[in-house]
Amino acid sequence: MVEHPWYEVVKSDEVLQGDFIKGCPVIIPPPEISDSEDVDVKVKNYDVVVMSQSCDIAQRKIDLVLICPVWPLRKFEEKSSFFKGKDGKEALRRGNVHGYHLLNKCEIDGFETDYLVVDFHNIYAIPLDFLITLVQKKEPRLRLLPPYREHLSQAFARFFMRVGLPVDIPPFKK
Amino acid sequence: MYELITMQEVTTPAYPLQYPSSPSTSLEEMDRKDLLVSVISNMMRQQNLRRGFYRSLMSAFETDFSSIRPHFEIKNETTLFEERTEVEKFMEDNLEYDIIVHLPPTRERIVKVKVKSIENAELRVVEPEGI
Repeated sequence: MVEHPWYEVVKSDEVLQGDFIKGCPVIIPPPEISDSEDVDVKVKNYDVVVMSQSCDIAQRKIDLVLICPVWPLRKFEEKSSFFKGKDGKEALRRGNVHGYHLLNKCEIDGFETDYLVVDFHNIYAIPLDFLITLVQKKEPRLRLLPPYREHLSQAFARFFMRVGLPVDIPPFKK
Repeated sequence: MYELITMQEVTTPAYPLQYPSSPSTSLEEMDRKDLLVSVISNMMRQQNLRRGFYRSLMSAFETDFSSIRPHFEIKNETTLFEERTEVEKFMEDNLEYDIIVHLPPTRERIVKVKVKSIENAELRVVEPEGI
């Protein structure tokens, strides 16, 4: 039987869609920036996954790379009663929860993870040069492999392209 | 009893009859009719060939028989060129381009930034509706 592993470990300057970066700093500006004053910013560190298309990164067609935060499933269980229960987790597994995408556990020695949840609600963009310098300094990282990578990308597209109807068709009673 | 089908009764001239004789006809009649059918078939084939030849030239003519003043003339080079560009335009419309235009921001400046805090992010769960 052909095996289709979910992850591999890489130590490379080449950044691809599906690369996991631990502790990626994201600058949060204040609500307002005035010309005269210094700007106070917050820096928040996220574990993220790269969402931009690999070819756009490789060919430097983009200056900013899209990243989404990734959380272990147990964090969701701690924070939400919906995800604590079986139904919530099952809905997540089936891809029925817009905005979140479930990834499998990683069982590679030294890189073990819980089930991971990618959060599409908060998308950040960081400069490509900054990201490349960051991965050069970091330890080896996990990379999501095809076809799970494309599945993640498809889930992101589905979340992004959804349309809310002002008047929906009422549910069928029989 | 079989009836003899002649070429005159065939409504689709593009398909000439191959075996028009019926078993009940006499040999003499069969020969005569077969000969007639063969002549007509050959004529039709030639007619079709000629029609095909003219059809291939039709694109070179500009024709309009729809009005009471029918119009018929040989297309000039400009008309042919216009037709070609229409095809090219169609091709262009159906191609996708991946061209990147790097445009500067409307305003760029350097500000002094003071980092107030560096912290690990906290998860904020958005629970789904209607599940």
